[in-house]
Parts: sequence; structure tokens; C-alpha cells
Amino acid sequence: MRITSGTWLILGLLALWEASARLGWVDSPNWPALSQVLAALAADMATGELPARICGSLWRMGAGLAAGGLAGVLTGLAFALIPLTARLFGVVVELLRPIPVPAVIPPLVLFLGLDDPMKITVVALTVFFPVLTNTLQGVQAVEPDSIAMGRTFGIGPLRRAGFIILPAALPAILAGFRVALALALVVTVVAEMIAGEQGIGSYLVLMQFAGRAPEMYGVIVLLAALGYALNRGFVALERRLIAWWYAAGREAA
Amino acid sequence: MSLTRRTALAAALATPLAAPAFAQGALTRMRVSVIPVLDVAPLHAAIREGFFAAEGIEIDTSTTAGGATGLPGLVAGQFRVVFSNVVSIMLGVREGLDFRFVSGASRAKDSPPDILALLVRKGSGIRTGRDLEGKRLASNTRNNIVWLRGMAWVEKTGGDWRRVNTVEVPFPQMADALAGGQVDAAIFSEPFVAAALETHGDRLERIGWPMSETAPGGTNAQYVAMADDLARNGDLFDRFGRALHKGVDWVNERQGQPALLELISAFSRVPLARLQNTALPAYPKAVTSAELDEIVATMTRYGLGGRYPASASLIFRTARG
Amino acid sequence: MRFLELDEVTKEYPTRGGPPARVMDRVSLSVQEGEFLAVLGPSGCGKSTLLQMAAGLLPPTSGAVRIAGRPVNAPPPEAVYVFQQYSRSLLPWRSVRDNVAFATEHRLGRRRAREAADEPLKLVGLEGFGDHFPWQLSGGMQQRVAIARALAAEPAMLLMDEPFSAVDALTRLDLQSLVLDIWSRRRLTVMLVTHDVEEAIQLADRIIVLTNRPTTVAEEIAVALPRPRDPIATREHPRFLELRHHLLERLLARHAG
Repeated sequence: MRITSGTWLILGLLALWEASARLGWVDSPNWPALSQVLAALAADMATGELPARICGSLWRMGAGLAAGGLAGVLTGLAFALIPLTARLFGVVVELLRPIPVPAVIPPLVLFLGLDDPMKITVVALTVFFPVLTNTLQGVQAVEPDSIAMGRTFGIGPLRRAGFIILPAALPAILAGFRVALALALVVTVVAEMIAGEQGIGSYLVLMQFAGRAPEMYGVIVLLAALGYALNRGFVALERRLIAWWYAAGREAA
Repeated sequence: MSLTRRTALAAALATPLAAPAFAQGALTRMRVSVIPVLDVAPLHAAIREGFFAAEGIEIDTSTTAGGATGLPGLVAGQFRVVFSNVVSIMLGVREGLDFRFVSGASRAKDSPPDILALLVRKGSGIRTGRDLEGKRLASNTRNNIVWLRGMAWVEKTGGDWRRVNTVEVPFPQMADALAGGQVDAAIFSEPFVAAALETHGDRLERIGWPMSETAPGGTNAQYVAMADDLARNGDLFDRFGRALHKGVDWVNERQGQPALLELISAFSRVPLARLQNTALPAYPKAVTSAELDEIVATMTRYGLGGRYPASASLIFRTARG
Repeated sequence: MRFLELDEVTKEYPTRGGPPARVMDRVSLSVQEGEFLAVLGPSGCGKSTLLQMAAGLLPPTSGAVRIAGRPVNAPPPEAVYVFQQYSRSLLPWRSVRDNVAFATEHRLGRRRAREAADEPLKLVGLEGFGDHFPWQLSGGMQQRVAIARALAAEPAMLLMDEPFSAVDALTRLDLQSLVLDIWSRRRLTVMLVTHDVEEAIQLADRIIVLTNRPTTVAEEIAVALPRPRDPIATREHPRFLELRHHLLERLLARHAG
């Protein structure tokens, strides 16, 4: 693999981190050297504690992503295809959209408790809006001709939605999911920091209270890597799911 | 499934004293809100040593950062028992919430060192509460026990507490905020005192013990439950109290021994070496009317007055000495 | 026998605040079974609107549309609409074969529909291109895919909306011959909308000339040229030249007026 300039920049920043702690440019026990951080990370990975917590967090994130994403796609389809639903619920959605997710956590705790249902709902809410917006835009941009094409062959509305509109809107929907994915990881960790003993978020709080900066930064490094890997994985998935979109774009250009 | 549960229930009703029997059958799950601090050592001891299991109870601890969701979670029914500092509990009581004390948790020792310490930068010249007037004093939260004892210390050392600017800084960030000059003084709780002196010892110094200097042996934190839950499930809480208090005994018998520090290190993740230099609180079983009256009086003095019910009515039988 | 009938068809669109805009005013026409009808009109005269109403894709404001004697309220199984913009009506995520199969797979199931796609693909000269994707083909080939897809549904009638306007001149001649060939082999009924005078004469049995908006029928002409029509020889036929002269004069006069 060729080392790109971006990789050099990251390596440079990591070296700067190591040096700033070792040479005392940043003089605080809460600023451990990268090598200490990685050692702490490796230790907690080896005990199996962190892998278990990562799996838990990823499970909650995945469940929230699935629930919120499905709701977003279905709502987007309904809003775009059944004008009545948009008239009935559009305002509600627009009112809820600007509310920051942390602000809805207290009522969610009241109704859903402090366990997975609350955390997954918080993630689902975060995912819902970008997916909804992109689905709506994607569906509205579907060529009217391709929908009329379905009608002229006597294809019913459900099949048209599933076989013409949804695939045509898929590139836009997936773009919404990519935005949602980045938010979902962050929000999962935040929700886990509120209460409970599970997941990366709770580990972060525990280590903060124990004054263990290397472990804390270790998890932060891990989150960065995890976020990067998730995004890369998603892009790879996207290239498989909508290969035609990338290819058609290239041919047309 | 339902048969076993019903059988267990029948057994629980019929033989409340045959505790060991529960170890075999279904355990009653109790969710307890805790903060990862030294004060909850007896609870963890009782869990680890099987005292709760012997009483037919399975404890599910839920850690909340700074205790923000603890008492609200108790009201909402998320927790059966919540560990919290006494000022936050009493403020809830003042607002009409039916909290009842089911056990003491921690109090100051009669003389230093105690679990709260007031730190300043070396060479800042700050020595007393009078020197703190017009200065920024960090407390992890406003209107809790840390803040209250801090205000009492300011007054006791000749300062006007109203002229001190309280800044909210979480414990983990206090040492950096103080060393970096964002605040002029900070009230640390253990083990953050030990951590700050260990890592910033060349720049920070301790000038006061806000607890033992203002209220020697004064109360700090307790375990509370809801009154209606206690009324309906008194037996369960009797068992809870018995198990927790065995944990208190376990801890008190091991004061100064490595076994206790190992236990604390295991649940709090604080490195063992740091715990060697950490001051521990006293671990009481009971909650007394006298100490609650003292707290209410002190709270009233520092602007947290109001109509408080009679202290004795707030103490459940498990917390009576 | 009249296969498609439009009876006093009127189309109006609501306007903001004002009275509705009438874009089509009591148009009546019919297409005989097996006939090739061309509808000729200047751009923007509402030809596509007319065709969409005939296809059941757009409801008329008043008047009636009938196919095979039955009123049309939804797209009828007998007639298939062929779109002007093949690039918009083909599904880019489906291969050529799967695009053709799309016309029938809701009725036949995916496997049988894919098998049945081979014959229309062969008919339009795209044998061996089944596994290509539309965006890998030229514009002319894509329009062939669209025609093959229409044929896969085995309609009795094709409603063609300027199907050759988006391709180059030579490809257009090629596709015109293809459509004529299919029309005669399959004994189809065709209604084709175009603004190309030569195309109308070359292909149709009869030409209906439309006016500008609000659209009405201006004239109806029988082409009366012998079949089969060779793409070169037909264009040199005196009747072709006569019709072209007449129709261009009409359209230009109307355009200027």
C-alpha cells in the first residue's frame, strides 16, 4: 500500500503527541504519551474486557441504526408517496428535528428507563432524521417517467415502490445512512455514559473517575479507529449495493 | 418458569428468616444506583462476599457519572436504592419527594485526614476563606455536600461564603483546572486528592480539610429508597440492610489492610498504588436524627433552607442504629 | 374496427387564482385495429398529454377514452407506452435482460420473465446484450431495449412518444425501419406522436395534425404510400414530396402565426 500524504500527516500528529508528553511540552498527568495510551489499550483488550464492551456498544448502535433507519426510510417513502401523511405528520417531524438529542434523554429515561431500550431509542432518534431527509429527497428525485413506465406495464403501487422508487432512491438513502452512522457511534457512547455498566461509554466514565488517563485516551483512540473503520466498511458496502450508480455516473461523464 | 417463580415467592413469604434457602432459588434483583467512589466499598464487599446472595438478593449496580440520574431514577422507578450525598437527598425531601434512608454510607472521620480537601496553587498566598473572597473556587457540583462543607470552611476561616465564586468542575478535571489557573482553589474528594498531589504535587498544596474542620464526624452520603416501596416490601429491604451491613463490617474489619484497597481498586479501577495514599471515610451503618438535623441547620445557614420534615420520620428501620 | 377512441377529450390545469388553463379542447380521434397513426404537431402543442391520456396515465378533464370498446381509467393491458427519454425509463441497476423482464415479472415470476426476454431482445437485434447494463449501450441501443421491453408485455398496441427524437439521424432511420418491421410482423396497432414531418410520412397510414394550444385537430390526411416502405426510395416518391410540402407549409404557417 502506498503511503499517502494523509497518512504522513496522521503519523506526524501521533509523533507530536508522543513528543509533547515525553518532553513535557504539555505537563499534565492527564496528557499521557501515546505509547502509554496504546499499552493501556492493549492491556484492556487482552483481558477481554474492552472487546466485550465494544461488542455491546456496536450491538446497541446497530440496533438503533436498524430501527431508526427503517423508520426513516418508511416515513420518507410515506411522506413522498402519500401526500396525506406528509400533511398530517410533516409538521410534527419538523418540530422534533431541531431538538438536540441530549435534551430528549431525560424524558426518554422517564419512559424507557436506563437500559438498552432507552439507549437504542436515543440512537434510533439520531439516525431517523438524516435518513428521513435523504429518503424524502431521493424519492422526490426519482424520474416520473420510470414510475409511469411501471404503471404502463400494470405494475401495482407496492411493487413500484419496492422495485422502482426504492432502488432509484437508494444512493440518496445510503448517503443519509453514512451521515447517520457517524452520529450513531457518538450518540451510543454518550447514552452509555449516562448510566449503566455496559459499553464503551461506561468504561470512559469509569476510567475518568479512576483518574486513569491512559485508559481514557486509549478508548478515545479506539473510538476514532472504530469510526474510521465503520465508515470505510460502509463505503465498501455502498460500492457493492449501488455499483450501478458509480458505474453509470462514470459512463455518463 | 412461572411455577418456579411462584414457588420462590411462596417460600419468600413463608420463611423470611430462612435466608440461605434463597441462595439456591431465584434471586430478587435490585438495581442500585452508585457512583464509582470510595464510599460504596461496603456495597461492593457485600456483593463480592456473597452477603446479598445469602439474603436472596441479586444486586445490579448502575454507575452514573456524578450521580445526576440517581435520585431522578429512583423517583421514576428505575432504581430500588440510590447512593447519594446527603444534601442532594435532603433537597429532594424538601421538594416533597418521599425518600427514606435505608442505610448510612459514609461520613467524615473525627480528625484529618478526611475525604475532602481544599487545594490551592503553591505560592498563591491563599490560606483562609478570607483569602478566597472574590476568587474562583471549584466544586464538582453546586448545592451538594462538597459545596456545603466548602462554604462552611470558608466561613470558619474568616471569609464571607457569598463572596466566593463557585465554579462547577468535574473531579477528574479539577487538578488541571487548578494547576492551569482556571480556578484559584478547588475542593477535591478522594481519591482525586491523592491523584492531584501525586501528579501535581510540585505545584499544588492542601490548605484545609473542609469536613473534619467544620463538622468532625459529620455525615456525607447515604442509601435511600422510596417510602411506598419500603412500605410494600419492608422484608426485602430488611434483607438488603442486613447484607449491606455485613459488607460494612467486612470493610471496617479490614481498615488499613491490603484486602480492602484491593476491593476498592477492583470496582473503582483506581490504581492500587494511589489508594495507599488515599484517605478513606468512616463507614457507618446508621443514619441519625442528630446528623440530619446538623445538615439541615448547615444547609439553612448557606441558603438551602426551607420546610424539612422531622428527621426521625425519614429514617427507615434498617438505618436506625 | 376502431381499436382506440378519444371522444371530445378536454384537458385543463388549475391555475393560481385564475380560471383553469385549457390545454386541449374537445379532441376526437380514433385508431383502427392494425393501423399506424402518426400525430403531428409543433413542439409544446400537447401531443404527449394526448398520448398519456390515451395510455391511461393521465385522466382527461372531460371526454372519454376507450380501448377495445372499454373505457380507460387506468393503464390498459392492451396498450404500452414507449417513452421519449429511454435513459429515464430504463432502470440502470438492472441488466438489459432484467429490464425487459421487468415488464412481465410481476405476472410471470422472475425466472419465466427472464426466459421470455430473449425473444423480444432478438427481435430488436440485441441478442447477446442481455447481460450488459443500459449505461454501457449507445442511445439507439437503449431505445431498442425500451422497445423490446414494451414488446415483452405482448401488447396489441404501442403508444410511442417521439421515440426517436433523442438519437442521431442515421440511428433514427434505423429505428424507424425496425419499428415498421415489428409493426407488420406482430400486426400491432401504433399511435406515434412526433414533430418530424418525414418520420410521420415514412411510417404512418394516416396523419393527424394538431394545432397549438389549446390543442384541437387541424387536419387528417391519409398517407397512401405503398408498403413495404424502403427508407430511401419512399423519401423520393412524389406522394412523399407532396405530403412533405403540404405538411411543412402548414406547420410553418402555424408556427409563424
